[in-house]
Amino acid sequence: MLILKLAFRNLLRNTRRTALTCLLLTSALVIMILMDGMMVGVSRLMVDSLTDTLEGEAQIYHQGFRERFDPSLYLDNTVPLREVLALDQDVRAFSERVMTPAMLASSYATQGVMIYGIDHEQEKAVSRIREAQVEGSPITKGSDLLLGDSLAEKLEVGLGDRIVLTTSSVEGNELVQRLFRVSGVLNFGPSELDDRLAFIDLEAAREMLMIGDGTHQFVIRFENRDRANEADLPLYDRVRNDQTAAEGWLKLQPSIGGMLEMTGFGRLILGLVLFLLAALGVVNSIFMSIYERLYEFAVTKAIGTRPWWIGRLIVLESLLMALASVAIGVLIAYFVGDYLEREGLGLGQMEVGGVVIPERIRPVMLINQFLEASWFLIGLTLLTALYPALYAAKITPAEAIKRSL
Amino acid sequence: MLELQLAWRNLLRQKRRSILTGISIAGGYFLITFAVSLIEGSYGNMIEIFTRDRVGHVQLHAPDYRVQPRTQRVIRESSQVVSSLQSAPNIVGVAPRVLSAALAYGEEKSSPVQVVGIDGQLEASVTHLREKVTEGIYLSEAVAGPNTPAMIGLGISRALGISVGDGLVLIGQGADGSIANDLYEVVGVVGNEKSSDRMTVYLPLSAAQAFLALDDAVHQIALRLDDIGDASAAAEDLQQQFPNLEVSPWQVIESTFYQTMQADREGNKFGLGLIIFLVFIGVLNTVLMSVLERTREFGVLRAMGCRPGKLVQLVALETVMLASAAIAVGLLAVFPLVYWFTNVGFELADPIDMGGVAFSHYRGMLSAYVLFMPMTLILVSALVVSLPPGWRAARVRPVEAMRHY
Repeated sequence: MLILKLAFRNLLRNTRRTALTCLLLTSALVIMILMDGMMVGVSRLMVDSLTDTLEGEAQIYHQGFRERFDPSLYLDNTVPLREVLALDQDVRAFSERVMTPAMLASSYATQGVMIYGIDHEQEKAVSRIREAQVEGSPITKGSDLLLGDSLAEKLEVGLGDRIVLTTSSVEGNELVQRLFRVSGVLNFGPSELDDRLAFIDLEAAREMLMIGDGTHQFVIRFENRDRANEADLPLYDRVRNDQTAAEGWLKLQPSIGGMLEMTGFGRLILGLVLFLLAALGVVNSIFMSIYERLYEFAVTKAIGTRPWWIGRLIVLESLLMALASVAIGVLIAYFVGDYLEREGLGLGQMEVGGVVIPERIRPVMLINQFLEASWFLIGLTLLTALYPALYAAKITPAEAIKRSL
Repeated sequence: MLELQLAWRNLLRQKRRSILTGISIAGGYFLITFAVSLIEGSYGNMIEIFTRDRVGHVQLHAPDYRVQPRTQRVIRESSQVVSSLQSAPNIVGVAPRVLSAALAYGEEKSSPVQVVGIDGQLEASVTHLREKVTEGIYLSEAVAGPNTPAMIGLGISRALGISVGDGLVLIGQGADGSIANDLYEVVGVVGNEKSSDRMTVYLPLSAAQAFLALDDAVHQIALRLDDIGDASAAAEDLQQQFPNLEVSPWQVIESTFYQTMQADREGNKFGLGLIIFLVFIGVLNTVLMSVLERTREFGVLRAMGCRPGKLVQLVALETVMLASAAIAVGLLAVFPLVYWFTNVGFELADPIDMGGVAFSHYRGMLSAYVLFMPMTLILVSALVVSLPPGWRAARVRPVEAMRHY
């Protein structure tokens, strides 16, 4: 216990230096924990809004359909797929959609859009179309049409206005035109959705495209979202064949995957940078404290203290500093994190990867962030203390004991 | 000169401490410069790409056209407007355009498309459309034949199964409400499957004006300036000159992206601030320690008649010298990296969509700002950090200080 007491006393001897070093370590720890919380917050927000808004957690579609959204690539043998989905334990809900590019014409303007044929009841459990509705009522009749608010503005239409939809049928390749009435206006947030999407009844869309019972995509929500990206999920194996593809959201949205990867990479770099700076500070400060005590070490060594005892003392001192910094840092990070979770950090609105990130970003604080960063900091401090400890252990008394100006 | 020599000797006396402090300063400089270079470069590159792809630096429209693009909302007497714009000294390219949605028919299939009427020569002065031709020839190089030439995006080529030499029928609605339809001959295919204009048909300006019954009117005039930094100011000047039109710089046209970029920059500034803060504490720690350690020395200096002001000066000089040397090292290390990123950079496998603009390349920027801004920042903070310890050194009482070992 003597060594512990000694280490304590040594640290307290120069409180200013100890405090500054601890401040450096504490700041690095707090920044690391909070940054990590921010990144987790943003990633979750992106994934949530992506999967919840429209795309679902997984999709079943015709091979090649997602490359160009060519309406002629539809699933025609849908009955067995419906059975499989209805019976699967992992699947919480699914919905069927028909998609086609089309032209919408109002009395004033014409716009090229993407039409989604949807079943309103099924969509409730899968997407946020219902929640995105800012005006009017959901689709109940074959002539109902929902569209994004900025698209409505461009076409200069409101609730109840007439709109002509023109597209070409998949089978027969005929030009088909049909009159719809605007029954509702949607606001999803991302301009690419509000600008160019319109929704009509699933059966009406099937009729227009003349694809019988065909479907372009089954959109799936799972009981447990993490399962969506398991490549060998039994559901996927059961439905996949030459014609049919099934993928989780990570595969469907490679740019989000790339972004999550980049975020992870950024986290690593940030961590390394922070701790590199902290490590340099620690080494510096320990050396300083050794220089100051050179005479002392030389004397203790001269009267028989073993080298490794001195080394151990130095390492113990840095461990104590690390522990104190972790204790303070964790507390600060907890309170600041808690505050930010409630209030958010305002940077300005962003739209990334088709997802609107609101003005105020809220971090997500997890116990792991605190644990990992703390372990990392303690380990790193011990590691950096080795070099000065070795130096101190190897002091030659005869040389060190000579004093100069 | 004496001070310089003294400061230099003091730095060399404790090489290890100087080197360690130097490393944290050099590391800080390296990181800040590299980060600033990447942020400026990647956004600069992105802006260059989309302004060159379609947007231009400034756009002119009829009032309200941007929000509600009715075919009738046109810029009248466009040739006069174009020639008066061309005579402006800071405008290097003027591209008038006619825009509309239409249905395109190939042999068997049909698809909704965007029709853009362009003057081939003028368009090339604003965008890289000519370089995007992958098959066939550029619009203005087509020899006059029986059919009007047209260029199509790769998406249309795939969707309709047509290519160079094939016929293309467009059906749309003219400004006067009439049904417009005409036959065109595909002379070129532009872009790839990810291009923003994959579903666009380019027609000669006069042909598009005839198709939509527009006479000499156009919907949009895109400008390229000699310096993109002037976009906002130039747009304001032009607004004075053309009070009947709506003049918008790219920041307004791509406002979602611009907002996202600004917000992201805010976040980055925040991160940079934290790194600087850590470097700050690290330097403060070492400078303070080196001063405390030399209490006796300063006492001797004071006893010999050195004025307090001189001591402050000496400590500040030491710190600034150390920082300068460290920055020189940091500069040597970071320069090749920034140079490589500026000239080569790397491309993301999956571009990230940012407010409707694809973020596809990591690029650096090599400029005086990128190199000198962090330099000034660090030198100034080093100077500030050195003042309190210097002040402390200046106030020591020689009698007490010389008792200090």
